[in-house]
Amino acid sequence: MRNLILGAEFMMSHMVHFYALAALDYVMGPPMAPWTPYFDAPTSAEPLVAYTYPDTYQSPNAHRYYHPVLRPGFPTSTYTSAGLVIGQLIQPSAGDDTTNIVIPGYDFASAASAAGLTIDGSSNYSSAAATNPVEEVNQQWSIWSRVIKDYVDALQVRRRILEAGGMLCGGLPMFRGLVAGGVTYNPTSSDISTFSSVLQEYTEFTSGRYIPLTEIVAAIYNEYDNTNNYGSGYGAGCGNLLAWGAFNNPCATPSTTGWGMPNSLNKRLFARGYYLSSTNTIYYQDDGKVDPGISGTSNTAGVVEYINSSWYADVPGAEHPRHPFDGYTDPSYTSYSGSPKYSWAKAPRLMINGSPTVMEVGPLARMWVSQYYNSGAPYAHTPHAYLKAYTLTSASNDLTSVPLAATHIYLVLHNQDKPSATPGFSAMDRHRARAQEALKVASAAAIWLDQLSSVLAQPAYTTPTFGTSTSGFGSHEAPRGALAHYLVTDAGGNIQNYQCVVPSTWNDSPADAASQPGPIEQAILSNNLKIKGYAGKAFDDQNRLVPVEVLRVVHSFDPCIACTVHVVTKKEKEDRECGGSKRGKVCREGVKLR
Amino acid sequence: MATYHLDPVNRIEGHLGVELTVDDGTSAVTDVRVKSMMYRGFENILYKRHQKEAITIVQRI
Repeated sequence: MRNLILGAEFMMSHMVHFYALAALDYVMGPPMAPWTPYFDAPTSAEPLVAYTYPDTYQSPNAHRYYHPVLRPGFPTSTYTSAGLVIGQLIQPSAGDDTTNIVIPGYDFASAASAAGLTIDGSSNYSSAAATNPVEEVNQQWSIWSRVIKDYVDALQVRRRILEAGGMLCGGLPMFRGLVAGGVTYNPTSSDISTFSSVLQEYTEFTSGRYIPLTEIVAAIYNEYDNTNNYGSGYGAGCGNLLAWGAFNNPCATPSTTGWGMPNSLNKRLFARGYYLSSTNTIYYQDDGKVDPGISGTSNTAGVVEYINSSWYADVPGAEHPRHPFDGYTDPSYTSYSGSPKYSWAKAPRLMINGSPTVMEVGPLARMWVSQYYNSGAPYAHTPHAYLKAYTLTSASNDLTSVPLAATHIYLVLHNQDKPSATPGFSAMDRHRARAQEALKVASAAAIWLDQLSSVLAQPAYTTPTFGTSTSGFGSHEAPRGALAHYLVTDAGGNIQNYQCVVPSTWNDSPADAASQPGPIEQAILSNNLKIKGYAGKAFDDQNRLVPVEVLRVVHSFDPCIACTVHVVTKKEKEDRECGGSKRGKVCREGVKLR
Repeated sequence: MATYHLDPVNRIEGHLGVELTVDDGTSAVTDVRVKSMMYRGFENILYKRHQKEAITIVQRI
């Protein structure tokens, strides 16, 4: 039950993040709410103008931030045996950024020949039936209008998956039916069939529209993608990934099939462990009961938090970094900028061999640690699409520049792996991993529904016993990443000390005492990110800096600041017995499973 | 080198600001500070409450 409820939350959260929050970074919607305002806002120098198809936009230069393919008015496209021909880009206008549409280094001639394309003076392409997992065969459609339609449909699918999960726990994302001890509702078989039909709709949407769109956007905006950019995509980040693991296998005797776990225990859908880029190794934690963040006597192991860059004060003699069980908070605001302290977020780090290590969390971390990302099976969707530019004016192999005199530039989106694709970390890798994870959870949810239907007679709730004068923790995954709550209780079972170290705290963290920037900070600094989103320039016509690259990288992390900042009370006394197992501490995004 | 503030960041949950130091010539970002601008004190609410209430309160984060 808990898997299904949290799974619904995962599925909902990922879809809404991409379509409602992130997609508008890359797609210029129609000139109306909710797709406007675009990246700029009207000013007295550039007031709103009436929209007339196909050329005028709500503000005269808003289109400059977006790739031509994903702007209103781009012509239609056709499916061929080579893939989806996005259509012809008419000669770029002055001010259009044409650098995005060039993929250097492709062997034009042999690729065209291998794809069965005949490049002659006309615009004829072979239109043999295409086998494609993405869209109906030989349908002409504009990729842009498809995206907008999917945006609207995604909101409805999201609502239905929320309702399905909420049916089991009294509502989502604020649930009422999950308590320590279980779920207060015993589902019926009609609940299961309702959930199942919504799940099917969600799965079809995700595999047929959501995942392909992440591939398409990654191919078009390839400077944000590691895979399509030979490893130098924006937003690479620290390269260390952390996952506490999620979705315990409800079966008493886990089977080795159906879960595909990389470790031998098959206890969870997503494994518990971390990846270090310095050693290119994934380290697994076998036993789910052990919190790798248990404090040692000297804070040399596990999770610690730094406050040197945060607006908190140290207690002399008990300075940070401290493990959450030992943590405290004394808010102490200094200034908005110009001081070493610049954030309300503390900086959690994982101590590895005595050294504080920056860790990124999130869907990419989970999918990478569990070795699902970029592994092909068991997904119905074939791996990455990539973009090739063909020009009809020349059969040259050299695609390092687009001749502006060319009147026909065909962008072909191929349904195949790019040669020498390097799975890695980048803004687009996060979006892709989030989409693939949504499908992974949806597939697992079908299994959970099956398992649930065989145990309907059993109670969903058992009365728990609450410990006193003890401490405990819960560590699990929330949609945005690894989540842990730490708790110390007094003699009456009341909370003496409570600390949340939530996904966005890991990601949004400021620099620690070793001057290591947090994951988002490192991602912004990765691969020499340059601000040139305004048709190749960093400043718009009003001389305002337009850091759309930074915004796109930040959005790829799906930050949630509500969860980032937490406060810990001063505790008077603690009696620490680590590993307390009966607590289920939950925030909106996380559920601890027993 | 100039410093710019991208604050608030839109289309996220919560309040986030980004302080950028941008090189004038290349427009490359040379330094960045990601600032969480929200502070609420959830654990203060939880202090002295029985632990079974935590799940109901904390989910409202």
